[in-house]
Amino acid sequence: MLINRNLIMLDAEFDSKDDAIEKIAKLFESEGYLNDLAGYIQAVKQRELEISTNLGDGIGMPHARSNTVKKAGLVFVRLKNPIQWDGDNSPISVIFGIAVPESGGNLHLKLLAQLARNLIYDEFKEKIFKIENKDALLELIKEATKGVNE
Amino acid sequence: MKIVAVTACAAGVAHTFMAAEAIENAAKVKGHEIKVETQGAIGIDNRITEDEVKNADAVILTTDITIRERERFKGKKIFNVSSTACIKSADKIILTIEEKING
Repeated sequence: MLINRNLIMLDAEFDSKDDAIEKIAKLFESEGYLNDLAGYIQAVKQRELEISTNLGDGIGMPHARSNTVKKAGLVFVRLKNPIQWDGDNSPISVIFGIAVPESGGNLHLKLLAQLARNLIYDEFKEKIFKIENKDALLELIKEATKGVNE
Repeated sequence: MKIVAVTACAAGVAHTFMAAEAIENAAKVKGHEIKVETQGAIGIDNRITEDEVKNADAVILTTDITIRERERFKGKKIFNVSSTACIKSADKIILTIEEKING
């Protein structure tokens, strides 16, 4: 499963982008998605240095395809207080964290593309910022990633 | 109206697809036929065929980075827009095209 109930965090309290990346990685680790926690954190931070994954509208998508990942996973986080993601862009309050194994080919890109397509719809955006019920959120995200949700 | 569009952005990961979805949705809402090719990190998807180019009344190309095989559209009515403009104001882009094409 790409995502499960335990990979959804609401009212999360992160201090910074690094803190967010580390805590999301720990969540993946605790659910058995990683081979190497430190290596995955490093890979995601490296990716952010290339081009920030701030998509605007308060949404960030930190991700990595790496051999530190055991199986493909998706974390959804909604923050209690927004955090700064990079110098120029607006702060982030919703995060989709993505982990894909080295053998996953283009899966991470397909997943990102599919999520990005959903994000142009105000109705979807509104829901991911507002829904309080984890099961309803899980359903919404599963529906949004249908077709790439292995 | 028949529209073809090609979207691409610097990273080819998110904006390419957001722009594609936005412009496709806006065109369909107004009852137009549209096909959108994405040139992303994943490669070229939903490639526009020669016939589709021939039959198109309008071509939309994003301006963020150079569109691959742009020469396919030579002689067509081309509308150049940024991917951000597609995402933020796709409706307006379609409206502009309607005005320019239908006079």
